[in-house]
Amino acid sequence: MRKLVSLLTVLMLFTASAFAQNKTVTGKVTESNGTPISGATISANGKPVGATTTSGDFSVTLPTATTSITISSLGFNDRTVTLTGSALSITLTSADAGSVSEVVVTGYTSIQRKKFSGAIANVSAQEVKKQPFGSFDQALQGQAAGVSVVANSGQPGANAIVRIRGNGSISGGNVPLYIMDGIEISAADFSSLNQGDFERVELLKDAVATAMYGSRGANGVIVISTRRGRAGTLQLNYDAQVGWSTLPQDRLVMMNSDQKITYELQRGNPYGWTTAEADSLRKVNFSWKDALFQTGMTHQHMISASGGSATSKFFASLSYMDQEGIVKTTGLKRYTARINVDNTIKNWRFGVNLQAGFSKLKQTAEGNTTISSPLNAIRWSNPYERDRDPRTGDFQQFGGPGYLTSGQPNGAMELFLDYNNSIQLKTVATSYLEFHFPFLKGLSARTNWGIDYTNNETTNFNDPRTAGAQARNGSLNRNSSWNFRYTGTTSLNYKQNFGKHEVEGGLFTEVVKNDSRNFGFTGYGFTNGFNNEAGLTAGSTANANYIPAIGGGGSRNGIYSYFGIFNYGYDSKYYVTLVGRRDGSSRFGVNNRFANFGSVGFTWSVSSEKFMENSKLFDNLSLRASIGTTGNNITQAGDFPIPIFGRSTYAGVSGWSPGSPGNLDYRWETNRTINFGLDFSILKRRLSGSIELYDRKTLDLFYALPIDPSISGFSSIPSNFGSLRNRGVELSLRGDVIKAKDFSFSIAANITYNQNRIIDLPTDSVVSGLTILKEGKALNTLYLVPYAGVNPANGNAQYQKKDKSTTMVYSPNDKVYQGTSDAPWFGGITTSLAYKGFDLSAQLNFFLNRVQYNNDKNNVVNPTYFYDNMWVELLKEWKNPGDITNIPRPTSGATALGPANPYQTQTTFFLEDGSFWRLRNVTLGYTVPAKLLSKAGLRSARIFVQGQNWWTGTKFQGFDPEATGTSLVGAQYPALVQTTIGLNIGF
Amino acid sequence: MYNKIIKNTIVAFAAFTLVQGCSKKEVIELTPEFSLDALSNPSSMKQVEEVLTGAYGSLRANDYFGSGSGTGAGWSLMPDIMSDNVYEVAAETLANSRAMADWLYNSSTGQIFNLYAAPYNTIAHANIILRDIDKFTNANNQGQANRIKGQAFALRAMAHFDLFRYFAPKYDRSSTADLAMPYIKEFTVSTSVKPVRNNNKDYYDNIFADLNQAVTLLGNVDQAVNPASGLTRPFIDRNAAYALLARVNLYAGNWADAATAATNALNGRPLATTQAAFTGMYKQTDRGEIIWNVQFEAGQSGPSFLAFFATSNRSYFRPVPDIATIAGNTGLIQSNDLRYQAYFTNVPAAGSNPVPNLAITKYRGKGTLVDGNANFIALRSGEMFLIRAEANARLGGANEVTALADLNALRAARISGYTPVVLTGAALINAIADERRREMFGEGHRFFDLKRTTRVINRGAPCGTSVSSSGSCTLAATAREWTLPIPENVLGSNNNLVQNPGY
Repeated sequence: MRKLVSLLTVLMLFTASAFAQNKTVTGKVTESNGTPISGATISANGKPVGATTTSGDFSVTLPTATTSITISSLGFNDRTVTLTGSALSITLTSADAGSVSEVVVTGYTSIQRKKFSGAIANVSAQEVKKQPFGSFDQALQGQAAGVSVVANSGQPGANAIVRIRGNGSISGGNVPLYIMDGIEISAADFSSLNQGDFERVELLKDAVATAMYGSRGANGVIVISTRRGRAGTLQLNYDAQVGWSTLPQDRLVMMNSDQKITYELQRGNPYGWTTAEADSLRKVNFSWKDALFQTGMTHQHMISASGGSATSKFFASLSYMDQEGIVKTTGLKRYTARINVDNTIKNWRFGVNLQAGFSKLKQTAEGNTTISSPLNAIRWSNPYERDRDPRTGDFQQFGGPGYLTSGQPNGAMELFLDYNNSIQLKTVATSYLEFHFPFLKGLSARTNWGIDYTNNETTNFNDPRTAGAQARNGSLNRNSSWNFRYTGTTSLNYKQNFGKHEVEGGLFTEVVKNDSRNFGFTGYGFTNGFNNEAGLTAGSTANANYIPAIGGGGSRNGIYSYFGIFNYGYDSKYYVTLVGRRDGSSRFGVNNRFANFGSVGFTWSVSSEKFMENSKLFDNLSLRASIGTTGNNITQAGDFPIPIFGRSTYAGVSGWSPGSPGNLDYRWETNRTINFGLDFSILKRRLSGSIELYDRKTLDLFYALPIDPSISGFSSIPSNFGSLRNRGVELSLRGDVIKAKDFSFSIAANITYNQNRIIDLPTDSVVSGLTILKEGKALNTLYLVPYAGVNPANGNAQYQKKDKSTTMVYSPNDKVYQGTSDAPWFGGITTSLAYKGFDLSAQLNFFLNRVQYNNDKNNVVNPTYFYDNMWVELLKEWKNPGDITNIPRPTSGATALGPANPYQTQTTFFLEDGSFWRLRNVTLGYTVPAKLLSKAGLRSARIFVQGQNWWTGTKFQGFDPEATGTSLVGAQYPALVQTTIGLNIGF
Repeated sequence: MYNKIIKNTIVAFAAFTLVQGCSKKEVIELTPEFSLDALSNPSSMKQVEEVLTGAYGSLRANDYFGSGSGTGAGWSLMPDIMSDNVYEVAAETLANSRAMADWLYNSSTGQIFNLYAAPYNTIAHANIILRDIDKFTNANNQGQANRIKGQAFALRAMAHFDLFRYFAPKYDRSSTADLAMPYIKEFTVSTSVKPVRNNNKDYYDNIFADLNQAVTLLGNVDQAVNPASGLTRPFIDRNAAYALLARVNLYAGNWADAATAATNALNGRPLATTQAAFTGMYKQTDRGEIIWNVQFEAGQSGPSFLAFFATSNRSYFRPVPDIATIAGNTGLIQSNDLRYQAYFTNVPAAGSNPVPNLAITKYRGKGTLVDGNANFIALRSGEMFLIRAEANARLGGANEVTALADLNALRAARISGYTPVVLTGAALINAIADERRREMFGEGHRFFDLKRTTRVINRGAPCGTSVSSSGSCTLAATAREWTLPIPENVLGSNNNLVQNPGY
């Protein structure tokens, strides 16, 4: 009893003393549509002083001298308001792309942007959400400086190729690390994730920013935070989109029937058409594109709910997406569900995020040169042949079962009779437990654990009627695999302010373990009409043809890390971040499993200095500098560095063959990044931006060191050798050009220049196919013989020799450097216009100064393939002495006029400018005013129309210049040209 | 008090870290579960034998005796593609081996590297066996050890000889000036070991040493290398070792030794004389006269796909009319010959008006199947007859009688109603060469036989017409292309190697 009384007395005394020096400020914080924002942080003089309640209200006690407070909340722009003496009504606007958001989330923690010395880009979740891509990474294109996002395929659900600050590894992986709610998720495997659940996407670029992932952060990190519940009344949202997608313009023009027949006659009439037949065929003009492509429909729906109290909040969602591809039969169906719960109980915080996604992909083979790929049939099938014989309605097979006259398989049969499906079940679940020690303010412990489980089943069926599958009466390949990864991070954190000193630090341990298994079979003998397991005939000695193939395997790897992060700030002006870590990976030699990494960064908030107080120009100016190291463990040697034997069989007996040479000294590939950054805002924050200068040097490159295969049968040993460098400049700008009451107009742009250079190689000038690895040149530098037109006298192709003279004799010694397929210049420009409830935005992306080898064209230029359809320009080929043309004679042997003329592929004839401009997105929206809504009982409503890839400007001859790699192989599934109409309603 | 609590907290955190630390072993000290650690294995005689199985498996590689779509088949069909036996069919080819077929290769041609690497992979297996086998050999398993070792020696010799056939400029037995290839007798994984090319004499010495070891060891084994009966002979037994010895001696010009070795190889391996026995070798329905075949089990592809894509009935290459025609009454192999039916079938090109045309269907499939899954007969009695005949013919004098007898015996076994001929001197040698072209068609000999004899290729019709897509119809005796170049990337990693003349 006595104790209680004395405690109360103390409290009352404390309160009384507080009142003596301070004043109370009250107010309410809401979204622009009036929804209260709970949990928003109220800061004064750079220190947090309180937070809003579930109703958005706050009441804070401040020193009398305080003139302004700053309100910040995740997902909103910070706002500083001047104290007026009366209750404040503060509206926060959503954080959007290009703006310099004040808080950054680096995965484990969030930190105020101005205190952070790392290079980070935010992508507005709104931008990612609205674009109906089956794989969210495609929506990142052009959104942030330094991040190159290129879709290689328009196949629904296909991932993009994402590179942060260039390719840093030659033989190892260049894929960034993806973190969702604190745990690693598999890269490039997003068809079962719903981007509608995302709240923030952060791209971490330099060593300080990625320090927390030092063991895996060398290629940059993409941090996804999913939506959290907000305290307050239950909010329900319904989002829907319906639309269609079409085929982009094809810039590689093939012959029509008339042209092809003319060409065939010119080449000696290989099919022996009579004049009557030829004339009849000239008129056919069948469109293989129309036969195999379609207008694909897309619709998606999502319901989400958010609510809770101050101590317990939740977010939940359900989504459905159905996207048809532009190739008939292809498409993606996706179902996802998520629930995120956060609880605060006394000193404990506890939360769970749970997501399950199921996707079903119907695909078609792409990116190959196989004659049975329908996407190749579109180019190669003669335009005077048809998918179906109009007389019978059955597939046209004039060339024998499964074949067209030309010997090209009827692609329509492969497309419609075969199937190529994959289904995926993906679960990402994380939970955290946090304890704030009561005896020392600012000290907390946290443990975060999560799993990423993926189960894939891929099925490939080849119908017994199709060209390649007749010998064994069809085939069914089904493969099942799972991947399980757990990530656990445990930390002890301390955060406290002592006067002008801000101290924050943490000690961490982290464990990541990955296990995978797969098995599958290929069965034959589909004679009873079924195209699944019910149709297969098990083989035996009596029908050895049907003996199924079976197989399977698995692997595992893990990472174990200890690290410490220390942040110190002084007087809200100077900040320093120190990171030290020790990481071990199972992928390296016994003695080199562990390596140390570290980084240090400084931030100077120049505008907080006394001498800047009166600056009219700068509203904000800060300078950042950082240096540090990070590691890459995506080796080319796989999971085990020891020499191993792999299973093999002979004559029905099992045996062992050398599988990998191993390297017991294999060690981490290290990135050393130096970054200088400048953030500014001027003209009353009307113009703001960032400039980053970076130098990323990769050391101890994973390199398959070539050896003479004679001594071991291996042609290379996995090694660490050499270095390469990515240097660049990134500029992000955002200007609010017009900011009136009802009208606003803003432009945001980002542009990146990345210079990739190989510095050191064990052997210089290694030519492999079309490319060369050469010190001083970029990775993926094409290395080809310059094509020098046609000799008018004899029709031979000519090439330029090293000494610039012209020759008819091709020699690989005449190859010269031709530029790289990785665009050094890229970026995006976004303009937004808003008038009352209407908004219009457009995003234009560009990738410049890149070249690509057009192998798709090679396959319709090679004169050997003239039985199939060809490039229209071949009509201009050399025929008679004196002809001036760029297309050589089709024959290869020596003639009386000149020497042999063998067809050569590794020449600049097939090298094309792969630069392009692309109108990535146009959105026109209308937000219904709150007044109208309240009558309808709605909280918010918005309708919009948007288009993807409506316009593309390029010189590249193909369906789509958006492709990675040095060569466009063939069978391209082009990016979709999409239009959708969307609706967002809040209840 | 706070200090104490802080201390306790840190201790608790350290303890937790330690708990996680216990799992360190299971997180980063991982070993493969789906492959065998080669640091501590092979660790028994059984595993050594399993590596021998792997060595045989390596012969199935696409660039050794196996094949890909229009590629590979380095020692099964490629020497025919590079010779005058076949033509590239304009209407059907995908031109995937144009560089090889038209002798357009240079040191950066990818297929050249594959041909360089494939035999050395087999040699690596053999060297692992020979490195480890003595560790596990004792008085009780001497016979087993001999059986394994003998095969390893034979495989090592054969793979080296196969490399020699493509990459050595000259076949002279005793030349110390001409370069052969590096003869590798030790398995080493290293970036610093850079072998040099042996000269022809040393190289032959090594091949003969290995083959003689094989013959000796395989004469004293615990059990028969191949089962007493069956439809195949998938392993190298003593007959096969002799057969290899005969072949190498023929190239070396050791005529007497070649004849002797051929006779030893033929011991118990008579010629197949019926259509069923002869065709059955390729269809795996009869053992016929197989001395050794490379086994391709179901699902393991086969040697056919370079020339004939069996599953799609597509002929990238077809026999030239000089060899055989659809009528069967002209050319070297006519319809009264067992070989006609065994080697060829009328498989027209896909098209609206199928034109009858012969395809190389020797390796079309086992039994009645058409999946291209067939064995490659690497050594058989027919070749031994021809080696003995050629060796005796070249010895001349009284040996010509024996040579003629072998030639007539072989022809009688192949051609129905055959009337023996009487030939001597150059006419006899030419007749044997012609017979060799017939007998060994599609079995990987023609290019090498021309290289070691006339050194001229003149491709007749349809080369130079629109039916054939080939642009090169002749290869002169002086052409550098008789010898493949040492691949550019191998030269890059081993600067001790000397490039072949002309490249």
